[in-house]
Amino acid sequence: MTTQGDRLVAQLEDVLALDAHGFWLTGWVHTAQPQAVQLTAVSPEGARRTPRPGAVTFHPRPDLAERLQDDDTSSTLGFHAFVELEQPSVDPTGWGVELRTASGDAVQETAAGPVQFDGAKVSDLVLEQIRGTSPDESVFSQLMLPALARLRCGSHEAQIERTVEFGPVPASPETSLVIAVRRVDRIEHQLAQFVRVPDISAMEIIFVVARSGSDELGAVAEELQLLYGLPFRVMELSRPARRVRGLNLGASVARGACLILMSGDVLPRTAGWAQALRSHYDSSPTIGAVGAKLLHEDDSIAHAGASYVRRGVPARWRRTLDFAGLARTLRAASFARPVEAVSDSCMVVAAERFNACGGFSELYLGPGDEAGDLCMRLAEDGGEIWYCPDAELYNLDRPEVPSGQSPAAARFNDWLFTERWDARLAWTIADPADVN
Amino acid sequence: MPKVLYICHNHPGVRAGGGEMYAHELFRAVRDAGEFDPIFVTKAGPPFSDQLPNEGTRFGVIDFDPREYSFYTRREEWDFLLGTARRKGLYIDDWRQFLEAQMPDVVHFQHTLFLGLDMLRVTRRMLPEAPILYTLHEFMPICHRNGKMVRTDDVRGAGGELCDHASPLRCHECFPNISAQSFLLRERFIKAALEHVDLFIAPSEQLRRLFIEWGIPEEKIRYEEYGRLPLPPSDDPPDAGRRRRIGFFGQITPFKGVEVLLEAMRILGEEGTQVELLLHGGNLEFTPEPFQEQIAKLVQDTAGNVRFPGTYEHARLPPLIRAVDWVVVPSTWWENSPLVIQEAMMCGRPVICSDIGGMAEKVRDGVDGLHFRVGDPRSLADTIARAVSTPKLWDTLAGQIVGAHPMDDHLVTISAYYRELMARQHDSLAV
Repeated sequence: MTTQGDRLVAQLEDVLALDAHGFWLTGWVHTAQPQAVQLTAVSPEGARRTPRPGAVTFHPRPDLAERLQDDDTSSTLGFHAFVELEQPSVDPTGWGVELRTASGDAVQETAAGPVQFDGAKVSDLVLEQIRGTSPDESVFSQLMLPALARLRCGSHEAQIERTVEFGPVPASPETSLVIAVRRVDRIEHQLAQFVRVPDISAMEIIFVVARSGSDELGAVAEELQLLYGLPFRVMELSRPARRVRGLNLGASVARGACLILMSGDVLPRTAGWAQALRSHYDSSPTIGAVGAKLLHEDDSIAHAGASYVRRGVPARWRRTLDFAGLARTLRAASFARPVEAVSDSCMVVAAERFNACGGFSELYLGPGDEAGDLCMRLAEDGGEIWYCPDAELYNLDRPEVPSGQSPAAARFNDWLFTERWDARLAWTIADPADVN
Repeated sequence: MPKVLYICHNHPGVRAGGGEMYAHELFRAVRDAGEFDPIFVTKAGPPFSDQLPNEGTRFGVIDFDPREYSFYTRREEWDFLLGTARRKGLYIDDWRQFLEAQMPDVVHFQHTLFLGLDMLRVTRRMLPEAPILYTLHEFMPICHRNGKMVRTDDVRGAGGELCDHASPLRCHECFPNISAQSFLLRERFIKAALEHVDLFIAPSEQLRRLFIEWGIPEEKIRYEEYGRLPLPPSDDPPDAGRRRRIGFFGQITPFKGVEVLLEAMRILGEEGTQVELLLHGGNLEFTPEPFQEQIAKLVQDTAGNVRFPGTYEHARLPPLIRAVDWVVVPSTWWENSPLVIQEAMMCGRPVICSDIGGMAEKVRDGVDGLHFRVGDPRSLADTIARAVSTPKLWDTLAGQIVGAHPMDDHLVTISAYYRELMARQHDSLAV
């Protein structure tokens, strides 16, 4: 039964603002060939934007079949569109869309409700683009990436809520230890190891922690400071954040010229790890970053530098972990050497270089190769990336219940990394697979 | 007079475990010798006792003795995996204040169970000049299974097997609900705390070896047998009918091998071997129900040759031991240096024991006792049969018993450690 026939019907359900320039529109359209409809967004101030291919996506909306009294679910599709305006739009009401079919039919619809500022919802919608589907790469570049760029730069992300000092933290440290904490109970474990490091009290230690909503963290931190005698700062974030966000925020307030960036899930194996990293870092002004040897709990290598290979169709650069799974004492992994990338679970970098290149990229989805991305930028600026085997730490960031990364998120990350670094890697790496 | 602080997880007046017994005997011997001024601090409160703390403090005096203190901690404060309290006020406030008031010259830990490894950190920070000693009574720092180093039934095909080394993956096999990562954290945490110890004392070579293999530096751990005060005198009963009476003295808990012993007695009964077992021990009621049921059934099945007098006061031990001819120590874990072996020897009784660990080390097979294959009732039955039926064997073995390690000799060694470490610590800080 078809009662709506070929008539063009549409609705603009939500307009979500990321800031005054970026808007995510959702709605649906009903017509014989809905995917061929051209969409133009019209701001309350009258600005008109017709998104480029990829900046509009369509998806089934079977929930509308009954409402539209149309059994043919293919004639009704939901849409997502992302538009960016040169001039800011501030009026919360009056957004509209114009939809035009190939045959010339057109309809104008105005949003029923006001503009919403809901970054979390947009984040969900960005991820929805890759949930169970494998979109065209134009969707990556025209819809997801610009939306993510605005999301990650705006107030939607975790912010520094407060920073509390426990004990007399050094005022002018040479080195700042910035630690992105995932599990608060592991702060104690790290302190139990840090306290063994000679001259650790000369370093600034910053634990970056998501706000817990209670004062328990402060009480625990105070007790730990008194127990271990190590001064440190606790930076509380307004909400849980990915590790790279936490490290970026921590680095933004760090006082040391040298940053040791690390995960709260790494545990030094020996007392000399920090000196080893610093010594190597100090050995040459051309060094951009130095990474540690990371180990699994069975003493096998988790990270001893990373390389890249070009694989797949279309070809993408993928990270491979050198010597991963082999014994800690493996001779080949016992020499310092320049590498393509090191891990953000424990690396040392100059604060100046880190800030100059914008810190870690926050555009990757889930656990991406942000460390590799940073290393590429550091290298582009002339910094060498080195692996330091004398700094050994256990990396315990593997979830106890395997979660895994969605293939689509991995595809987006591979695409983004390749988009950014294809030329550089193709120039620097002679991949054996390319020889033939 | 230099002051020595002893820290123990329990008071023998509350629970007469081997570690507590020895620790308190050492404290008394040091007090009586007069070279050092000893203070004894013991954990009070659950789970060992229902004692309540004094108002506003965790400390109290024991039996009006200004040298003996109780230190109240609660079970629910305890992190069983890490061996310390979750919240640190216990250490940074209570323990620190106690140290400030006492200012000991030597701190000798006997145990930190339900007290916490963080006491070591605070002690080191508060008293950088005071040597810290730690007597190891079992494998608790290595093994999460109460330091027993026996694999759990969760290890497919290896439940109950003796374990000779820990690793995050092996421990995770024993405790599948605790991740290998957590076991790595446990090991690193405990080792970091134990780094503050200047000298470990291992009462058995086996214990010393396993701790060295685990990572304690060899130069920081010395073998020294428990010293024992003389037992109260008691009459040796007439020997008519002797050589056929065997005795078990200890806790009837898993790993003590009582089920192995009772199975052996069942075999001996079926085979008509004339032998009688006196089963002296308690705490069965605190064990898991299946274990209680197993023991109850075995006691029932062996009613013809087993008597079960039950628990006993340690002060009454010498006449109880002298009332039997052989003492059996059938433990199915390594043991360290079971006090009952020394007590049996002080009473002139040969020991029949499992052929592993501290037991096999302390009892010389065929010299002052007999070994049987650990956990094997058949082997134990054969050994008991041989013991009670071989003419003159008892006299030979009993005649070769050397006796216990006298507390006086032990004190000479321990005091020398204290002096040596105090001098070394003083020199290193002076440098």
